[in-house]
Amino acid sequence: MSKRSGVETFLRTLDEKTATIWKEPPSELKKILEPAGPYASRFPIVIYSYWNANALAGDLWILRRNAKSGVSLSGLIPITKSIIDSNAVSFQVYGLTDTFDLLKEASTVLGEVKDVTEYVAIAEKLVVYLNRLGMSGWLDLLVPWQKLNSAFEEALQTGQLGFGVQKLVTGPDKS
Amino acid sequence: MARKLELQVGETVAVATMLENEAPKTCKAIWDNLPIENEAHHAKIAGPELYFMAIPKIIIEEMENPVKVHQVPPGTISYYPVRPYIQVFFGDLVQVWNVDVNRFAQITENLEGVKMAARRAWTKPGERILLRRGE
Repeated sequence: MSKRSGVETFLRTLDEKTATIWKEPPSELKKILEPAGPYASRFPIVIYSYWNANALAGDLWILRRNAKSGVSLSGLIPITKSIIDSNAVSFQVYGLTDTFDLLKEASTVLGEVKDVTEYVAIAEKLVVYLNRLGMSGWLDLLVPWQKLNSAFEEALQTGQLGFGVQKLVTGPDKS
Repeated sequence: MARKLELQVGETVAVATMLENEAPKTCKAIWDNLPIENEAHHAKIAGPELYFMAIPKIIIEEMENPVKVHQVPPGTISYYPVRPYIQVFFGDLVQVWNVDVNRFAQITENLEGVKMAARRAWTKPGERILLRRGE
């Protein structure tokens, strides 16, 4: 029996993690929702994590499309690794250490990719995972969008915005 | 006869007709992979729209029946290839979003029910959404 490659092993790991995250919120979310949290600022961490997951999934989808349309992997892979590494650090800062570990593993494994099929498989599976974590999943459900939107509208109307930006709503101060 | 879909949001069920003349390959890709179930997520910018993840079951590369998102009629069901999502539009959309969606079905029964269920997804997220083959 032939030994499984690093890419194959990673894809299998990713499938398992995605199957788990599909059914249940990941335990790392519980960690960032503890009252103290990594930096005692739960909401910014949730919203930043949401945005990082969303942005990274979007970028990976674009890169995947480029690979499928014939852009050279020798150019795409270093860019992909840089984008993943950069986002991974953000997830680490937020305390989403499982996602950080997964992304670091993805970045390493990308160095072993042999062809477009492997590259596309990694990108697609990461997009599924990140979407389930973020915009189509748990982090999106953690954000009270309607209440936030209402609170922002109220702040706009009642002059509760930061010094210097209220004039964007009310016009220049004529006093 | 055009194929029918059932769209369930929470307990509300609507019927949609597939646009097989306009988007035959998209309709086939969707039909062959039904049912698909997830949570309904409400759009944040576009306005009255629900979306849910199509991948990993469904990936459609071709923009077969492009319609500008702010021009889709209420009741449109589409695939958004930029983010591999299925979208359900249930009202007039914000004019700022000038992108195409791949329109593949139209809700023909109980759009009003979908509207009410979709608004619940905005105020209280987490409604289940299910797209399945109709009778």
